[in-house]
Amino acid sequence: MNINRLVSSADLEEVFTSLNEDIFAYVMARVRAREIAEDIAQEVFIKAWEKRSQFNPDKGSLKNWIYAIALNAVRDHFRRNRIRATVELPEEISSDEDIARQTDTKASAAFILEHMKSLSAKEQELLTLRFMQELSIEEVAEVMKMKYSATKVALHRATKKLQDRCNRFSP
Amino acid sequence: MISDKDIAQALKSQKAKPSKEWQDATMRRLRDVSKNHVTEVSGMRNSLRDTVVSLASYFFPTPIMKPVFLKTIGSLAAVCVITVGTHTVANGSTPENSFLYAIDRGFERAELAFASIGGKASVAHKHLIHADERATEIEVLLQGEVSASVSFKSLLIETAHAQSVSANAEVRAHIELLVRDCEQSLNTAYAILEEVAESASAKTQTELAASIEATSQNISQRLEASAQATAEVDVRPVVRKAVEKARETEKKARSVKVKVETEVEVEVKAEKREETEQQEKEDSAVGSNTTIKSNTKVDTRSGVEVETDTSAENNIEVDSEGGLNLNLGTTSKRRNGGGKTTTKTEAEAETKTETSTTTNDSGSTESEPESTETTSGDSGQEASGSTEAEASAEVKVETEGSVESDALDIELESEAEVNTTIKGGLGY
Repeated sequence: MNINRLVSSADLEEVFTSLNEDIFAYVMARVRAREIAEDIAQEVFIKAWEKRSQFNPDKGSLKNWIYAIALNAVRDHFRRNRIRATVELPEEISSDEDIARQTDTKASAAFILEHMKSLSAKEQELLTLRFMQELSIEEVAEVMKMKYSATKVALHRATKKLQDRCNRFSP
Repeated sequence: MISDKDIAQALKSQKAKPSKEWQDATMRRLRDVSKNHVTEVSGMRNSLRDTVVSLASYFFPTPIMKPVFLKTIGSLAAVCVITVGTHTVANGSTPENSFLYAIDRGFERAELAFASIGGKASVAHKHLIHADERATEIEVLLQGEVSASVSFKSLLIETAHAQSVSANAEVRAHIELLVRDCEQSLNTAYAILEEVAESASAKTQTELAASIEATSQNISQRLEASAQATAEVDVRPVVRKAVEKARETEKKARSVKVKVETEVEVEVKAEKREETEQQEKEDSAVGSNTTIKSNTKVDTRSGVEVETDTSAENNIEVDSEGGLNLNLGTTSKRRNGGGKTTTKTEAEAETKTETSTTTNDSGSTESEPESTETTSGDSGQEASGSTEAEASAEVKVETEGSVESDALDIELESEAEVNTTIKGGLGY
């Protein structure tokens, strides 16, 4: 996205055209419900327009600023609806049938995403932004309002954690 | 085994895409929103918020305030709000609300402490405000007294009457306390006025005196009205006492104010008079060309001029034995006691011509200006014994021939000394 200002309606259209897929994908990855994701993503752009006076190009890019709005919108959604962003997975696989099913989906995206639910909300946010949205570590740090080094460490731990979970449940 | 790459690949592949309908609908909505630009309420809210944010960023330039800093600011703000709120509530309290009233008095003490920073005058003004507040509290209590007595009278129940008696006694005690405090505040203010009489400027004194006068007058009038309105006769003497004290303070403050104003007027007049005299002197100096002032000492025994000094004043001292004839044209006092006569004449002369003083052996002294004038009177002073005469004279001589000569004053000092002061023209 080349544009780094949000002043006119033309700017807003351009920003939406550039970012709507990324923002929707991020929200969708977090809430995993299309209708809800559509509503939240739409509100993200409206909120960005309403709060455009707060955007300071010296402090960061417009893209990261809108990502931060999306991040907060998703958090608000979970808080408002009292939905746990983290789902507890069973510690033991109970039956042979389950084992067979998971063997079939080994290394599949669905398998990994399912296990990602067991991570904390912050870890999910980090992994989504870094691997799904393909933001750089600097960008992730800016969106998450974290230090670069802390972001790097947190990402490494989250990845390792997800890896362990997946490997533990894989046959 | 699942690797990091697998995770990255899996997440990347799961990236959902929005529907075309959603994109169109959202775009339409965004166009509507952006065309309206700013809705009224949110616009006002945004403007207000932006103003606050910009002000905050001015004072706190860090982009993100630390939580501790925010907590500190919040705590300070909370303390301020609580303090102001408590002060506002407590300010309207009377001694009946003992808790709030204690807080109110506590705030007043703090105010006095802060007022002392601004000097004694501001402390006095603060005392006046407190005196006025005491008067208001007395009024409130007296009004309560009226309503209570009326309601109890209408009931005509003995129990109620007994209760009213005890209640009124309590109120009277409060009023006495307030009257005492009111008097004390006024007295303190007046004492400060007297204290600053020497150090403070006339303006400050006048202002303070006027404030004391106005406040005392206001208090006396209000309390007088309240005393007349109250149904309780027992309370009236107490209030009247405060009224008298207030009137007394009012009179004293007025007299101070008048005194200060009079002093200021006198000073102004004196300054004007000095300016006028200075102007006249300057004008007369323009009329003469030269000013000669000499100081001459003459020993009459030898007839020799001992000392002559030309300075701002013309002094003639004559020492003689056996007698002295000095034409001073004025009264003098003579004392017989010895054979020595000392005559000292101080003359201040303004003339175009030179003044010469000669003394002969016979003891007579003559002082003759070269110009063709002037003597005033003849004292014919003869000294037998020891007489010391000190004459001071101002001689004004104009070379055009006219001479101004006035003997205004001659003063003789001590039994052995004749001190003569002559202002104006002096003829020898």
